[in-house]
Amino acid sequence: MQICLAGLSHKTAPLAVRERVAVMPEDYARVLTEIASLPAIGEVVLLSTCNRTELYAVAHSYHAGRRSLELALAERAGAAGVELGEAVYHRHGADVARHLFRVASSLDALVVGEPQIQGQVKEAYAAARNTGRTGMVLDRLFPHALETGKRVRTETAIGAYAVSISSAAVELAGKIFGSLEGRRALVVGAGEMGELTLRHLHEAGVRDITVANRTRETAERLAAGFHAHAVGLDEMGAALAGADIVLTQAASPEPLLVRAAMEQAMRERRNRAVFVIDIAVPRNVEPSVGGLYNVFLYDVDDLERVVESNMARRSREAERAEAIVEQETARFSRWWEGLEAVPTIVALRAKLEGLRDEETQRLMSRLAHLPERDRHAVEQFAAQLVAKILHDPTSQIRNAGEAERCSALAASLRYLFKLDEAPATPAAESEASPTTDAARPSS
Amino acid sequence: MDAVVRVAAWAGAGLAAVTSVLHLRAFLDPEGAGHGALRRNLLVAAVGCMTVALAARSVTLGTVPLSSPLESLYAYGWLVALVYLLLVRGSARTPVGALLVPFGTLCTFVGMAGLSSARDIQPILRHPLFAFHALTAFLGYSALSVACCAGVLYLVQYQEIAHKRMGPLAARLPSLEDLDRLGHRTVIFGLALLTASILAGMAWAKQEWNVFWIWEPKGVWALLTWGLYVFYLVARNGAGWRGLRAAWLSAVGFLASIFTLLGTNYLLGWGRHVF
Repeated sequence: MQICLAGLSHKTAPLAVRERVAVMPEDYARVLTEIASLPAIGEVVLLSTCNRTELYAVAHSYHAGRRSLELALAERAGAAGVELGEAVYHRHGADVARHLFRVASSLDALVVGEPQIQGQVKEAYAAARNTGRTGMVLDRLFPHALETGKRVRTETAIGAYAVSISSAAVELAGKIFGSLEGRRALVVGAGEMGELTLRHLHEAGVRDITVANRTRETAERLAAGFHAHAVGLDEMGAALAGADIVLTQAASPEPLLVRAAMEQAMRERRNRAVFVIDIAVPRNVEPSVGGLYNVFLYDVDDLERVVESNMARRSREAERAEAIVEQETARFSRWWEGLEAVPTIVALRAKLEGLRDEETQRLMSRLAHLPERDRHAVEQFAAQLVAKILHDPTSQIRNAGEAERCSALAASLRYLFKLDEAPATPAAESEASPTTDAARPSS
Repeated sequence: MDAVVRVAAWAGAGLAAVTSVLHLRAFLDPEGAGHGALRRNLLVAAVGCMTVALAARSVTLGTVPLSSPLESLYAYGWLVALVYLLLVRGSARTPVGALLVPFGTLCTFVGMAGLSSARDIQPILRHPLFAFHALTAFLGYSALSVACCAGVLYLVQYQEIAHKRMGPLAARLPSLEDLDRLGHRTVIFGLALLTASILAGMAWAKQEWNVFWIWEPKGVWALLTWGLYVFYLVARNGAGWRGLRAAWLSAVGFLASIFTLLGTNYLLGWGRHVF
């Protein structure tokens, strides 16, 4: 039995390939069924987002599992007319756990720390579980991954710093105004660039939005999405005094917001604070506007600097997150290797109990003259002796701790007691295959 | 009665010390800080013990326990904690608490010695107008220390935002507007109490010395401090001095009030307020 992973992500495949291989949520059940019917595959979970498509499976052996998963991906790609080539990566054993834990902790993401991935892992697991594609192993691996992701989120600040222009702008607005509920905003220019920022502001509670643009029709198009009202550029001055947040994004060779206009507006609003976000290049706002009392002016460069230093902070936090992932991977490994020892323990028990029954029966035929009570005592003696002999090796191997020690002990037991001559068990099969040992992270 | 004062005073200061550490930790290490309920309940318990100590002390003295500078310091620490509990809410609670709670605790520890000394109270200090005059003054100064704290935090946060740094410090501090509003609210509260105190002092002076006003250091400084905070309100609401300038004013105003409270006694050392 082996855990395998095959997949491709933003690190190995361009978008053109990823989007072809990606599976839509409504197709999950069908694709899962297809993969589960492939040779050697037991359990399977499919994780497909815009940044990655990955198959997590439990297979009878590593090689067979790898072949099946590779085939499944190649078939999807082939049907879509793309070549996968070197894009597919494979993992097995504890490396699968490490990979999934990093994914669920958003360490493998395009933007490290972005929060969506945790929900996506959760949904992928739920989809496979609901169609009955998971079992003992993946039902442990995926909840463990979600738990790891949660631990990383609460114990590190990996998601705490805004790493896009629009989220940095909203975070700043929050640091100036506190609650954004009921704040007024003025948007100058109706381009698409500022739409995301505007959407973030709107979600944070900013209402009463005015969009000012040279052509009013374009302004109306942007305004419609936010219940905002549209005005021409000449009416911008009237809205300026009421605006707590000014977002400028117009294409204009010279500044649209000059110091004198802002001064006038500040007088009218009695110096109540204004946050001016200028994301236009060339800039829409005269730099000297930022020197006015209680005006906070951020241009694209300022926001990008904030984003950059936040990125650096996130990567420092990522190092702490990696340590958590390592801890959790080790914990999973212990369980997994302990699981591998289970068949050995079962085989040992079966062998000793078989010997016990054999010997007791032989003895009983010669002890027919004894009273029932005494014969029962002899039977009990044999049963207790075997149970006591089994007790120590069983608990020792379970508590052996490290994975390699555990499997070494299992191998010794199998050799010493000639357990492999007993009927084949999954563990016996994996012992026989040298690739399984090579698959372990420690070797 | 002295035993009650001693035990309750130490218990209050001790609890305050424990919760000071928790308040500091809540600010410095927000992830490991745990529940705010424990911090807060401990502070409530500390304030309760201090209240018992000061009430018992009042019974012994026959007047409010503000008869010596050290004793007043203990009462001041108590009021700072009380005002913090009553007036500071929302996002400002943790950062303001990290400054004010240890500060108040320090005051109670230093002031502890003042609670045990038996003093002969001058008869004029047993007058109810003195009790009102002194209590409102101290409560006012406590509120103004909260305003100062909000002002200092505003200045720090302003540096972060205006200089476009936005580091971990900015993430932990409340927004500028929240701090500005907290400062404004506590200045109004403090100024109202200061005004009441000055009026009560004048009424008391009229009774004792048959004049409303005696020109002496503490009175003059109190008037200056009062004028500064009146200026704060006028400038902030009338001339648009909200934000940065208001923050500076509340910080400077607090320095003036500290001087009024202690400097006039210890540095100048004369006048009607030296008993």
